[in-house]
Amino acid sequence: MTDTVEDPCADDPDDCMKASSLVDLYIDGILEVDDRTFVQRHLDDCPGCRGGYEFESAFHMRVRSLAPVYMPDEVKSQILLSLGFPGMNKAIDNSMSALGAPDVNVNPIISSQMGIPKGEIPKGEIPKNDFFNRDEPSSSTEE
Amino acid sequence: MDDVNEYLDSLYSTALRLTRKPQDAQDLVQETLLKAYRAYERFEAGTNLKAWLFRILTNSYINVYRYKKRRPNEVDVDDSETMFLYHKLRGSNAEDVTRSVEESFIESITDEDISQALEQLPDQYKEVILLADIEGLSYAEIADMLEIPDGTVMSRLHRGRKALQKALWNYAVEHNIVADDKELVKVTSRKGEGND
Repeated sequence: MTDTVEDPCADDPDDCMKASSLVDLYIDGILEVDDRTFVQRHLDDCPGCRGGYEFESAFHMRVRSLAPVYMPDEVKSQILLSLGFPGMNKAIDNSMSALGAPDVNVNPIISSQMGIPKGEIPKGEIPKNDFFNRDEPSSSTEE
Repeated sequence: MDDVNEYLDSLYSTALRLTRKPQDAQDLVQETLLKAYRAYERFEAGTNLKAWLFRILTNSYINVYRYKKRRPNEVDVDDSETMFLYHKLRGSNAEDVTRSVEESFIESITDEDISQALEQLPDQYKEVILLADIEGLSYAEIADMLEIPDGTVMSRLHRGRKALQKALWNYAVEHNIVADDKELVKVTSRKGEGND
């Protein structure tokens, strides 16, 4: 194996510095053509920067794979109930059953804030504007 | 089918990582849904529902939560160098270091480690990392939702990612995930530990 260790970036420190500063955007695929070509060529020629690029790519992928924190079903139920949307989906219905939750009326405070009279949205009925489980998006664009 | 239900976990996940408290996350998602419901008639057909919901979430967070607190151990963003982790893992003595050190580091860190490191970032950097890297929103969508230029998204993301690497390194050293004795960086085996 090697007895001496050479800095693989020693020949072209300015190019290495420039390439290093652009690697992030190169990985994101948003560099302009000239910069993208520069980085690509530099990585082809510079083992040190190529190693860095490979590590950065792997690290980006690792961060992107961070698993979501799933909202507990009882929290979903609480939120939807507080907004006056009981029975919006099966999972929530199931969690309500598991909790032994009673039939629920629309939260009077929230519903009045939303301009929805108490009881206008009975349990299990889809709200008037199809906010949840919509099949087709609303076409309104008014501000 | 595009559906608000589809994004509840993503909204909650981001809210929890921003606020760090389950009750605050729940309140933030609830407020987001309430605002979204009120404004739903203004949602433009064919546009990105996820981006629209996240715009409401981030605005609510910024208005209500962001300036409530300062964290004592925030990582210093300005002095983070490019490819911080890579250079750290290569170590001061390159003869002792093999590529496997870098690979084993990536394999060794858990979601919890990354989450803890994210918590050390100032909010404006953490926000763009969560939106771009975790939720996969585009620079343009993030710029629109945070009402900042595309270039600012780019620079915050660049600096935030560097700071995240520094924070993760500090966390890893502090928790003996890596041993940094200046001569040889060793990654502690964590086989059998959960990754969530």
